[in-house]
Amino acid sequence: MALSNDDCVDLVRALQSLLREYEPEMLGFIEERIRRDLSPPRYLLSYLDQLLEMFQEHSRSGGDRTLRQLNQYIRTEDGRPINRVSVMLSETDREIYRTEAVDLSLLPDRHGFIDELRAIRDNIRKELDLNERER
Amino acid sequence: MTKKQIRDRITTAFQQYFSASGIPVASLLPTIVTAGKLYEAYILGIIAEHLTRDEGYTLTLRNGNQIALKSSPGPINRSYPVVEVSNGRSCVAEIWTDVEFLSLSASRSGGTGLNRGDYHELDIMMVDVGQNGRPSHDRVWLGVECKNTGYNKGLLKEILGVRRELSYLQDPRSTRFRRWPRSIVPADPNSCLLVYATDKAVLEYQDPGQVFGIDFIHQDFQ
Repeated sequence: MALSNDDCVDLVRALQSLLREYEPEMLGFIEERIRRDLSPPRYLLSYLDQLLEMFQEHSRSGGDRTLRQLNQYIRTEDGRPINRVSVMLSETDREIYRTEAVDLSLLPDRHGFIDELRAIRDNIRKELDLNERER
Repeated sequence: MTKKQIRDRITTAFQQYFSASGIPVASLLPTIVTAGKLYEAYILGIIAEHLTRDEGYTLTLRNGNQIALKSSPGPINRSYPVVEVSNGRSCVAEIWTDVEFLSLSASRSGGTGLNRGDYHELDIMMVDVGQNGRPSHDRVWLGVECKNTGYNKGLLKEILGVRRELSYLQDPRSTRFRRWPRSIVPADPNSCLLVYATDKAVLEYQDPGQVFGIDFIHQDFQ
């Protein structure tokens, strides 16, 4: 069964609702970045792309890949590998979050979840491409 | 797949992941503060690969064993880790992250350099050795912006502004590089400027970049 524009809008709403429940901060961030001049099918795909990018970037697998890439081409003074990527917070951020830095290598492992989201996104993309060919 | 099947599958994925992983409903990590940072570090690794393979440089991290990005940009702080770029005989340049440069307009107006409009941020900046504070626009070898987000017209306008504040548009001249990222650039001073983005749409914006000397590169983060 083909996905209609209304179906795509409903699916975006479902994603928003899940994010509101489980990751409200990420919902706000995606809502800020999403392009609003897209058709409902493109909007849905773009929403899923943003979601994937955000989860990917906040997953340990992304941190591991980054450290591998860095260590392949940058050496250190003592010969030991680069062991982490940190974000040093500004003075105000330090007070707000009560920490000096965020260690990006301590992120949760979201590998399985990301794979599933990507598979769903790819299925939807196939479905929508099919719709366009049928038109 | 029907709409219902898709919705059920998405809901199950969220429910399974968030209940099984024990991750709190609201993550402790301040997403907005750290968004885009891991991609920035990954692109630093990609740049290191090009400088090593294509230009023959050796890269060494000084002042520690961690890459220290910043939640908000600022001047160069020499107590932070820095990547030194060496040609085998001596260090020829340094790579800093999340630092600001003093703009061409500030240089022309002879201002103090302290007003907000006098300096601009680049995610990754390769500059002359030994810079402190905000390096002048003519000390920049290479500037890089990293966007793990949808690329849009606003971001294009932003990078065109950065290009303007780095250099004048001029007849092509040699850069500081043999091949990568480019050997000539239509800019004086002769800095190179790159935009890396996860969004393929970044390639739709490359026409003005060809005129002004900005390279737009699609780089996945998967």
